[in-house]
Amino acid sequence: MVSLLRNQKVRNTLLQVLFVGSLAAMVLACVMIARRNLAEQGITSGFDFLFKSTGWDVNFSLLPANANDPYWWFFLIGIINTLFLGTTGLVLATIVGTIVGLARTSSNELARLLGRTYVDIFRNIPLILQVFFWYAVITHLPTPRAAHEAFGMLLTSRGLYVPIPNVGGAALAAAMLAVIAAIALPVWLGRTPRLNQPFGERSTIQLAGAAAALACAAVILAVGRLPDLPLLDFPALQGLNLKGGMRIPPEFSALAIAIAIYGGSYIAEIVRGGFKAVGKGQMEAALSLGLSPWRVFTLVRLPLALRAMLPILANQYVWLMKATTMGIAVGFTDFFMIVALTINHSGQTLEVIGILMAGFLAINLSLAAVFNRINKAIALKGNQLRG
Amino acid sequence: MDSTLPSGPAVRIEGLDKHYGSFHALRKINLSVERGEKIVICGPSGSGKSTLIRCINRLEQHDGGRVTVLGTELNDDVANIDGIRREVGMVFQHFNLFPHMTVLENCMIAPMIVRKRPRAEAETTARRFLEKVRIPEQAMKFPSQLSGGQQQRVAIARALCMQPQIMLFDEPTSALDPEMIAEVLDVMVTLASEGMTMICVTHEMGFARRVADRVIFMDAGEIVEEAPPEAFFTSCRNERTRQFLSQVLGH
Ligand SMILES: Nc1ncnc2c1ncn2[C@@H]1O[C@H](COP(=O)(O)OP(=O)(O)OP(=O)(O)O)[C@@H](O)[C@H]1O
Ligand SMILES: [Mg+2]
Repeated sequence: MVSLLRNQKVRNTLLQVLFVGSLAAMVLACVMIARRNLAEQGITSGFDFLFKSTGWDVNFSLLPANANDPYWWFFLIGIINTLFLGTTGLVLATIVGTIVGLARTSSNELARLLGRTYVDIFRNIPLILQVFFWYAVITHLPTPRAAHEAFGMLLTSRGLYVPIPNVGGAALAAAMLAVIAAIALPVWLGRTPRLNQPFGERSTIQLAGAAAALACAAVILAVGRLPDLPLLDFPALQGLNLKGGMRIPPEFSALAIAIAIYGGSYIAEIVRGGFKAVGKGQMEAALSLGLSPWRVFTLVRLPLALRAMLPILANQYVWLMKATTMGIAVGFTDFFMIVALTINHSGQTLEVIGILMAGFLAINLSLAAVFNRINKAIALKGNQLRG
Repeated sequence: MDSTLPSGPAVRIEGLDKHYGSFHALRKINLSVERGEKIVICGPSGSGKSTLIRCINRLEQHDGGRVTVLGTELNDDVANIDGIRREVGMVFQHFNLFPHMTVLENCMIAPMIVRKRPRAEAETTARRFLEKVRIPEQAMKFPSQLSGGQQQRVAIARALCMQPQIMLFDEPTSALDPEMIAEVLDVMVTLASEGMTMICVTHEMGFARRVADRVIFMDAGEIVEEAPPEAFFTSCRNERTRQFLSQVLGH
């Protein structure tokens, strides 16, 4: 018996059983206590509330919404708002981070200093303060009547008004997917081992793929176009109000800018680290073959730096995605805020928290899965790496 | 290869000076290398061997004297630098292959982009040179799936695919295990026998004896001794050279 306890495998299994067992007991206890408390307060648990109408409204939605819509529809709106804010923030943060990160690795002393100052400042101011700051700035922009105009967009204290295509919502979404496919398809076609063509001889196939996807987008837009209206709907002042276009509320802009600037300072450090990880030897070899500095950058330095950055970048993206929950601080109806409002109005705290966790888990696990896939696809092969 | 190129030495170095900050790395170097000549440079660590050959393709910038390669003087003129790098191949101690490209791609990339060769031609050339360095079967592998000796032979093939007129080697066997050194040296001997102009920094004295037209000994940024291999090994005049030789030859 004693000797059995000394066995490594037996020990590990026992520990596992003990751990899982106590965890299950704890969860069970919590659920039972919660049920009793809820029953005492006269709240029925369950997910029936999802199909009741909310009775309140959201201030921003990419889908049609009003107070008669059920809770599940609002959750969907919340998730889409979170994804919209998150994606906008991530894309902007990546652009900012790349520029600042490159400045930090440049040979120009001034650029390096500016980059460093940027990182030092914006990485050390809490995100929530930056959100409030940009919110204050944007809500102090001129009123609609004195709006700034740029590229058909109107910049006002009530939000940013942008032109939108006069196309049905579903068609617009489908067209957007087609455009994304037009970007992703050539990349995939260039790498997949499933095609017969040798690598690097696929530019025709890649071009055809992109063209087909773009043609799809054009057809979808043409079909989904609203009759008798110009293709683009520009915002304009009518009386005291702005009509037309789409309104991006100040809450959204403030959050997106704050995430871009704050996240950019972290991404800048990742970009810098990635470029520093590229061996000088590979670049010298490329130069000695007669490749121009620009070619050395695009063919050797950038691809190798990307491989070093991507795993850390994925973490950062997941982290920034969670930062969208700052929406509640300025009143942007992201997923988290919808959840908070639902708790207030329906009282179904446990169920709604469960939905919140499941939602973020799903978003972030998919993000992580996509990045793992990319990482695997471009990972350097072999283990005899030198230089 | 290019008949329009002026005749004259392949490399002419006159009064070359190079500083790193206040450190004087190369002092008034004079060296002329004829076309087809094979030069071996040796010397203790830190004596400036790498710096010297890296000045020939402008991986280092000299700050005094003149370097003329294939009749073109190396100065700040970017076109000159590009033109010379096209004609001068270089092999490094640590191979410096591109780890994200296959062996074949490593060999095709520069000919396709710099020499604007069509893909099919670049591939034929690449396969021919991979055959020459005796690893045609590794073409579709990635560099880090190969042994050190194989990687260095790929590096040689990659440089040769540009069909350069001069080849620079900076301690090509120093990072290799003994049994791999021979396979790399074999390739270099073949290359020498075909008339390539070669400047090799190496401590492989057997190789120097076999192929070098001249052996150059450097110390503290200066060329201390310069002689054909027989004379160099049997009757060197300088005390420092003798000391160095007794170390590398293990006497
Ligand atoms: N980038 C640099 N910055 C400052 N000093 C340098 C730099 N590169 C080389 N040196 C110095 O110049 C001297 C010559 O260096 P070099 O690399 O040419 O020596 P080497 O003869 O090739 O030595 P080894 O046999 O170790 O390769 C050394 O003292 C080295 O410390
Ligand atoms: Mg050296």
